[in-house]
Amino acid sequence: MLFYKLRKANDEINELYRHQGYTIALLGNPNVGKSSVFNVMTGMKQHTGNWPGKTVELATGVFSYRNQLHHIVDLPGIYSLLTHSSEEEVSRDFICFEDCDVCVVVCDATMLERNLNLALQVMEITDHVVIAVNMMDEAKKKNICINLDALSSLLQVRVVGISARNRDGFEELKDAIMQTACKKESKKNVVEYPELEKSIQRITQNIHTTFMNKRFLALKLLDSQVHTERFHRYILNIDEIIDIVNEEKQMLQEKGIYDRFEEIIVNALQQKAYEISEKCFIINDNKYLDKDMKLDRIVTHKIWGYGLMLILLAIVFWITIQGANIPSDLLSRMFMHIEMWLHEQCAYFHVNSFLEGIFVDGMIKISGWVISVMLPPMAIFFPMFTLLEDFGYLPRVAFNLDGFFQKANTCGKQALTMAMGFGCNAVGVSGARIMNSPRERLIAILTNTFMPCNGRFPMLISIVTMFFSGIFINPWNGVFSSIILTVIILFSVMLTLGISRLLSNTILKGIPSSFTLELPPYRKPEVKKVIIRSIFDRTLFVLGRAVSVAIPAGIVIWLLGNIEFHNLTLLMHVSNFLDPLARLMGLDGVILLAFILGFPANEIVVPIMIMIYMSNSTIMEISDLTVLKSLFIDNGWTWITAICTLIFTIAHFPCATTILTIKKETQSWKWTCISFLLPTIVGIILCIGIHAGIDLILLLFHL
Amino acid sequence: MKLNYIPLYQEVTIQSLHHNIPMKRRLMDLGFIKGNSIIPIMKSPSNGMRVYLVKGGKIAIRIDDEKKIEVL
Repeated sequence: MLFYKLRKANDEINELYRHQGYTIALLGNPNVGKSSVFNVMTGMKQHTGNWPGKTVELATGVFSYRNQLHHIVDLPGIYSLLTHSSEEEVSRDFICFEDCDVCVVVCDATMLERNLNLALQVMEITDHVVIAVNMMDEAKKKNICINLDALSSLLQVRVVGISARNRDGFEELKDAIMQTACKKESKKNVVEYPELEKSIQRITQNIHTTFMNKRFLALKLLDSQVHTERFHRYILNIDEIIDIVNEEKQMLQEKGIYDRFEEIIVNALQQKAYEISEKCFIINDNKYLDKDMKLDRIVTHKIWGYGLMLILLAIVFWITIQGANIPSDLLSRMFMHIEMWLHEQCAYFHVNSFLEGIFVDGMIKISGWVISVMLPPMAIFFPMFTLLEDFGYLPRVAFNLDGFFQKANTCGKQALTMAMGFGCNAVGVSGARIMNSPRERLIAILTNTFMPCNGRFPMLISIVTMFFSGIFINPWNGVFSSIILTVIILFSVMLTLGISRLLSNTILKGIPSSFTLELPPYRKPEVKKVIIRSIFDRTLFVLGRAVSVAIPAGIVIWLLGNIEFHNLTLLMHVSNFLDPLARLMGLDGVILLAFILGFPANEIVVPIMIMIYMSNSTIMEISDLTVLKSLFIDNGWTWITAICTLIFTIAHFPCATTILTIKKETQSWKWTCISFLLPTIVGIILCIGIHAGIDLILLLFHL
Repeated sequence: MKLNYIPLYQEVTIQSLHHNIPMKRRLMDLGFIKGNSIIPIMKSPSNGMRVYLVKGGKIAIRIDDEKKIEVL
């Protein structure tokens, strides 16, 4: 009864919610601060970055105005409604077919003319448009003056100057939205197309439609590039109209106009945008691009450009590794105390030792381990990455590296997903959404695991330090480890490019899609927001998935290490079984088994090796590298083992968190399986090949 | 003249685009329209792209796409 009442109340609220307010669509060119506007309006903070074309899924939120709730939808950033990429179709369909009361077109005050182009196109569909000229503060700094009143009277819509960064002008914007929502439609033409007007008129006069704007409909029907089927159900006399449209197309064809169809439309829009911007956009100082240009010249320099990239990368790693040390230590100590306390409690209540082992030494220990080694580096890496993103540096990286990706038949944006992969492969995989071509996106997803993530760095560094540095250097202190990492990273970048090329010549055949990239102006990042957002959006999200895999894995590892069969633990049986293959790869059974059991998180691979070598019943760590090295050497490690282990660390199956993410992103078991098998096979082949190669060389030279 | 032969910092006017229609429209949206003047201002160190100053924005396009743009 109570349940029924609650549900009824809930339904009533939902109903109220649905009917009360207006639906407002937010659209604009990429990188005009649309998402920042959305954030300020709703208070629900969606992540925004200085990266063109970021919003792919629609973000929705609510805001209140005079005690009434209104919906607001953040549409993908687009340059126009004429092109037919998926983002543009999403935006156009939303404005055309959804019940959208007001369209707010967000414009960049510093690039008004290009932004007006989109505004005019939106105004062709609906009258209910508000122009929000964002970045008024930035325009002021660049000595740009915009006459908002003139703009408003020329366009005949409300124009509001705002600054999302300073939260300026939002009350006015809300007022303008509300006034526009109740405005009546007027039937004035936004842009005239002299050569097409006759045809447009003939169609609009004959059409019977439920669609709001006949003129727009006529234009779309005439356009050979538009899939007009979606509009057909709104047309009552469809057969008649199709005939008329075909006749008009024929007529335009004969006059030789139809071949220039898009040119006529684009030129008319552009001309109009130019005229308007001439009247209300005044640049007092033409050199406003200069500061950016100087920086750009360094950032994209043939030598300094690459140098800066490597230096920044090294700095980011250094800060991550150095900074993660202390919080990691604190966390692991905290978990140790929890474990000890739990052991005491178990002893006090006489809990069965088998259950105690599964619960405390299995579940709690492994998931605690994963949290304490995974959380701090990610919480440091991603904010730094996001700062670079907000500053506008990352599109320049894509620009610098695009030549290499072109040779691999992919797209420069892959450089960005790779960089995210350094932080966490799962984040890199979901970051591949920024790529427009599905083929290139799949390549980016499949090859992301070749980028060693935060979970694999410590292992890479300690192996290199133990076996190749000669002098003992504490891996956590020192530029040396950063240099080693950079070398390893170059290897993984080359591997990624090679495999990408291989994929685009085999199972993902195709030519590189045309690729345009906008380099946004450099902007001061909003530090506080960046830190909060990147921790919540990326770090905690990944950590949640990782822990959900670590808990069952902890149980499995404990069981394998503690169930004995013929006087040997199951762990030893499995490791002996794997040994022949592992030996062929230059590893041993224990190493291979550690990688397999490290499937939930790469951080536990070394602790599992130690656990097996020392015949311990649970994972453990040896912080002194000399002790660790002698343990490894006692168990038959040589420098060849170390090389093969390094290679297999870079090229093996992605961790469970990443696999889950790949499944979610590709929606396909096939690609998930391939993403598992591809790097594993590459790793096995590389290890066997290099092991055999080294053996052969040693044999030939009688070493 | 094809756009890829134009040296850096030389302002040119676009004559025609010879891309497939989706790319042509994309370029037009970005301001690569007949009659507009553009200036190549940067070259990618990996030889993949060049940046153009177009309508106050900086747009990078690939060399293969430059070859299909006639300028004066």
